Amino acid sequence: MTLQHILLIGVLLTALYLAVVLQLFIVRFTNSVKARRRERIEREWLPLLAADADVSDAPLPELRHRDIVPFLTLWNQLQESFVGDIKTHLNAVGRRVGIKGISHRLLEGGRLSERLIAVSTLGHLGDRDSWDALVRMTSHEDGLLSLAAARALTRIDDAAALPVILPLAASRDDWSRNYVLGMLSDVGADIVSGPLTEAALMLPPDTAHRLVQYFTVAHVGDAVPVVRTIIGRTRNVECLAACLRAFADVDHLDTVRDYLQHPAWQVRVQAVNVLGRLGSTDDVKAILPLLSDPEWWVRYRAAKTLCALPDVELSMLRSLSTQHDDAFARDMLVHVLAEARA
Amino acid sequence: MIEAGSFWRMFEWVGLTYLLVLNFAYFVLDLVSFAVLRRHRQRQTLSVLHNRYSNLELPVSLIIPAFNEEATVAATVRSLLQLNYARFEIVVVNDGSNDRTLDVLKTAFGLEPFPEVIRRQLQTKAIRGVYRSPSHPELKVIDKENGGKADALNAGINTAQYPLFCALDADGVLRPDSLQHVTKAFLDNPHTVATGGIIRVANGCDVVNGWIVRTALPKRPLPLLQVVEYCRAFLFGRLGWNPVNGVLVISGAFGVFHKETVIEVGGYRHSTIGEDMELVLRLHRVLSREGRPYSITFAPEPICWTEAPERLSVLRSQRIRWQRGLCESLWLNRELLFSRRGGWAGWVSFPFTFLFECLSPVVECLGLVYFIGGYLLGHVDVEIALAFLLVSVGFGTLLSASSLLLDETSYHTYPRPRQIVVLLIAAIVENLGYRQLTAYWRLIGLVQWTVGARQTWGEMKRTGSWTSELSTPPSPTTVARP
Repeated sequence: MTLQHILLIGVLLTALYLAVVLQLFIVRFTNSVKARRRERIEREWLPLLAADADVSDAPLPELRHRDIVPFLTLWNQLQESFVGDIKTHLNAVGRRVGIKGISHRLLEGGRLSERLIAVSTLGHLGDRDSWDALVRMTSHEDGLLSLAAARALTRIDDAAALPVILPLAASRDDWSRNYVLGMLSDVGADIVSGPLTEAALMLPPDTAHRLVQYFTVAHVGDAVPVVRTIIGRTRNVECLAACLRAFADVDHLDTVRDYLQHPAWQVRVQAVNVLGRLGSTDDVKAILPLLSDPEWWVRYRAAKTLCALPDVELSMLRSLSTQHDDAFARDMLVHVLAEARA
Repeated sequence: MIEAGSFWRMFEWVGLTYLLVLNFAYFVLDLVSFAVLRRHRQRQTLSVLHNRYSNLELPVSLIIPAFNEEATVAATVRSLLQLNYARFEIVVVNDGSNDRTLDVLKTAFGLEPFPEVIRRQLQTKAIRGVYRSPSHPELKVIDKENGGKADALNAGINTAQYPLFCALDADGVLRPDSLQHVTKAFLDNPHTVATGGIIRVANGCDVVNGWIVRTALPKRPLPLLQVVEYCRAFLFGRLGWNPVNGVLVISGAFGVFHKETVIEVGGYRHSTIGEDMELVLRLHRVLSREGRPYSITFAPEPICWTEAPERLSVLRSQRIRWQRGLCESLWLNRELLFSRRGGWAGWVSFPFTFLFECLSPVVECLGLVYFIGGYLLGHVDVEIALAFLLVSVGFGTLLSASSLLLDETSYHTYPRPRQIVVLLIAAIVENLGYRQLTAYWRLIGLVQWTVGARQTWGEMKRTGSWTSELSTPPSPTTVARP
């Protein structure tokens, strides 16, 4: 290695450093340009998009190519923020601008962010022409994109979307449970209830919990017989716990009482929770032994249930908290009674 | 028999090659981080649109171990109580403080004793009492005998009631939306077991009632250099491992974990110095060995600010401790290295961390002494000595500058052009003495760990001098977003 080589490396490193510095200031400049563009779009379009009055004949500002993504972002944000007639108005303005064609183009060849925004736009527009493309996209390897496509389908035709979405909700591990729950809640129990419970029934019993966990958005009348059927077919702990969480059948509480002695604490705790929701003073006798359960959560939920049951006297629980044979049970009752006071 | 001259030539080339490979590896991580950030920002599009799902977040227990934190703990809790998050509880664990930490909390929040039954899933030192606040039902204070940070965290985990817990330093300053950012990984991927976020240096920032109201650079040189260092460590040192599930460190200052999984692997280990890294490595080791699908990720948002040491002595003991913690964590989890199911964590991240983070102080310090000393004594060619310095300092500066570019591309933390100029100068200065000094301290840490020297905890007395309190807390919406 000669001094010349070293000098060359030094010059190269200095040049790279200066390139990074230059890039840093370019990024800063372009970010500020983008921010100003977003502000301009909001200034120009917000009064038109959020207008109460009919603006169907009003002249629209020019939408340049580089304005498309910030415009679509604003348009989608307004769609997400409002309910009612304004959505029709937003769609009308959107169609005048030509966002349907733009979104189709972005859907085919855009970057991930552009595809996400295109999917969302087509959903809000209720664009049936994009149905097939969106159905294909629900199987995309990117979980977020597939979930966004599912959401768009429910917006276009919620009833027709459910047969596409529900099998995926049961099989895709990368779909966030909470997002799916939110999506099904938005669709509403009247539409979701039947297809969801039927789809759960079609699954092998040990995997049915993947859909049973969404039964909170179903009508009780639809959910109850399905839960009762699945609970009779499975021994899977996760599935039993999910079924008990969704249990709302006052006439079949004997089934639940059987699970108070189940070997898995996850099942026992759900069973005692059901009695807390649906049980009566008749259940006190069955719940009391659970105050001495080896699992903390079962003891805690048993004590909470006793406090919550109708017609159970707090004075009885207070005396139990001092006289119970088991120290664990006594301590838990004291804890829960203190919580109740707080 | 190798001649002495040939041996030293070989030594020189090995040293140079090591530095070149190290810098090249960091450069690759840097490029990966750019790609990760770009993709992350693209995926954010949907979050911007779908605000309505924000109330579906998983509930979180915030666990704050506090040992002699009377100066800052009340302000921290006050700010946490205002977090913009659907459901959370705050569990402060007073780890046998010698000062008035517990009294300060009792007075500030009107704490009352509570007969809590603790779910003892992890062994801890004795609990002396549990307190709750009638005015803030989401606040719980555990008073226990001193057992160290890991013990306090385990006590917090035992009393946490939610499925996720967030380990947080008592002087940590969050943004109102920090929890939303960091728990998003748990929503997006059900297999997530741990996530962390970028930690920033709070020195110099205006902190009012526990909120950052203005981001600024520290005025003192030592924390200023740490700003660049943190940028580099977090923005590509960790983010670069995200796509391959190879993140090995989630800072103890702010990390969110799936509680039951942590309990399954045994919680925090009491006897280690770097309990945060050790836990993450153990999660990798156990979960990969069992063939369970899991993900440990890093949220690229700047979500937590912390007080950086302003005195050399404090920084020294911190770096020695970190290095010992690193060595110890790697050693305790050596089974992960090249394990059959170890994946990227076992086959790439672990050896990378061992070679380039654990051993680098040896090469840096020995190389520096050898090349400078050798040159002065006339044993080393000037070309070789210059090449060593150039690779060490030049590439280091370049990497530091590129981490600033990463920050500017993504989060624009420091808005004023002057701040960027100062940071770019700091990126150069950092490599002209500071880095070598920290390498020396890390070498001491490595030696201490190797010879099994007794663990000593350098104490960083929090002054809380950079925080102030208003009679009326600022609205979270007025808090500056970097």
